[in-house]
Amino acid sequence: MKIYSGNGALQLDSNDPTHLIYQKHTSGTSSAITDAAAPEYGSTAITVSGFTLGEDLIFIQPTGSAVVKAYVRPGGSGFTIYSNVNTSFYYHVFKKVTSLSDPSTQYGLVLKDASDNVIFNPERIAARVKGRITGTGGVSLSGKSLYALGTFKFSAVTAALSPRRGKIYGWVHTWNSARDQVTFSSAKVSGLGYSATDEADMDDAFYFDNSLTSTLIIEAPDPI
Amino acid sequence: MSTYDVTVITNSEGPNYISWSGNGGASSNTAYELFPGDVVNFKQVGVGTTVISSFKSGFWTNTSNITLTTSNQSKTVSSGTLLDIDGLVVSYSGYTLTRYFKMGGALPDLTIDDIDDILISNGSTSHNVTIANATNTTTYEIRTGSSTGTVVATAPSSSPNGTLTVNNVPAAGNSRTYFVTGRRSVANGGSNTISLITAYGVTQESPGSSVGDGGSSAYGLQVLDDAGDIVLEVSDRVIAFSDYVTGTLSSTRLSETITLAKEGTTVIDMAPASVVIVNGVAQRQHILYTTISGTTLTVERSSTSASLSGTVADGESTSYKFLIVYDPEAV
Repeated sequence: MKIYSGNGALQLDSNDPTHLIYQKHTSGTSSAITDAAAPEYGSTAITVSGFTLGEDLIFIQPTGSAVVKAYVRPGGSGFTIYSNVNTSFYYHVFKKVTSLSDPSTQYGLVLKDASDNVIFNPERIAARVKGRITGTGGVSLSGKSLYALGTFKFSAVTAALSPRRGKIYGWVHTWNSARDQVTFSSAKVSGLGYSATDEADMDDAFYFDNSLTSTLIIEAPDPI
Repeated sequence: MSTYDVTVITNSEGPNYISWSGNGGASSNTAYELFPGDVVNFKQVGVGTTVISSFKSGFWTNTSNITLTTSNQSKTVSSGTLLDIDGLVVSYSGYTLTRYFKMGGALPDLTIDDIDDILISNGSTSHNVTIANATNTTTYEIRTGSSTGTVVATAPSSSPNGTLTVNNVPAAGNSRTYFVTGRRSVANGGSNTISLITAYGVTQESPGSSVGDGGSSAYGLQVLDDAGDIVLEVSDRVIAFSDYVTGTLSSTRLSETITLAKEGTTVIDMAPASVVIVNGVAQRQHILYTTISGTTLTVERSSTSASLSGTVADGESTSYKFLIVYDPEAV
């Protein structure tokens, strides 16, 4: 059996045992960040039972209604959220469907491959992509609850002449107040760049790369 | 008022019989600017009798010659004529050397507010900066290349405070450093010498791209869980696992190409660089970026060394951990 989306994107394929979709492992709400003070981002760490670095996908959304910027760094037993606003975050962690326990339901649609492995579990929400952004861009879907992928990359480190300091930049997500719009862009994440003594000193402290990085935006409910 | 130290080094063997260590221009065009009240200390290192002469009347409070010793002997700058130039002559064993000084005027006001780095959208042809706490006796200029480089914008002389539009930007996907300088004209009692105030960077975004959701249709599958939440519906594209790759870029490698187990579209760095600046040097050797096309993943870095010039450290290896996922598009 193959299931396609409305515009023909492959969703499920029982004939391909390597087409392993992501479905929810766990979800929750982080502790509130308390140490964000512009231009420095604050952070909150989340430990996830059964977290697997290199497999699990993290998606986050800020609680409340403030306009919030954030990024995520994964770790060995969970992840850390960094944000410019002192707030808590909803999160969902997804695993490959074959890494999850089999469904307990006796009805509904359970899809298996030829080896009897469950490749679609009706009890766990799938990672339902509403947009992939490469470089600067955004996804806006009125009324939807949008979560952004936990990913991060530095984009620039700058220097300024003493007593001023340069800044540090990275790729971050920004949510609107309704959480139905997410933009992805390079933004200042720290004021702790270099304080140079002269023009020549500035050169070695300056880093910039023009590569583009990608992110995924999904729709998901608030954690229960 | 400032104090400057000059050491004259003499040598009985050429070719450098006399050397000058310290401030002072080699020609009148590069004369070093001094201000009334400044003190210059002179001393000698080396052999033989050495005399400094031509201390100009009106430029120095005392114009007598100095016979140098190994101890400092000082001269104080007088309240002379603005931009007046004095060439001091050093004489040693029949050889002479001249170094020039210029009488400075009132200083420019260099205490404007900091200017932050700027990110401009793709396609922009200009950027704006805000000049604040400026003084109209100083001319504020934006330059490229260096603090003496090409002027690309000048704040209005009568009212320099406010938004200044700079019709100069880096190419898409690149950044450029702009230097903010101040100078006080002779008409305003200054010497018109350029002084660096600050610098800021401008980055123009690369053109991005995006892919939307799974579209809409009257047909397809919608699955709800027992809480009524949507597990899957027709408008979704669904993320699938592609590969997880780990490895090391050796100390001499800028890039590496990896063939993935399955096609991928999005790369997630599982171990992004955490410390990006050490002792003033950007740790560019540990900041990795990737490109992906089908099953080909390319891992790159801009330098194998922390220093662009290679003087800080030789090449360093760096490890990587990337998770790659695939979100199928319509076929």
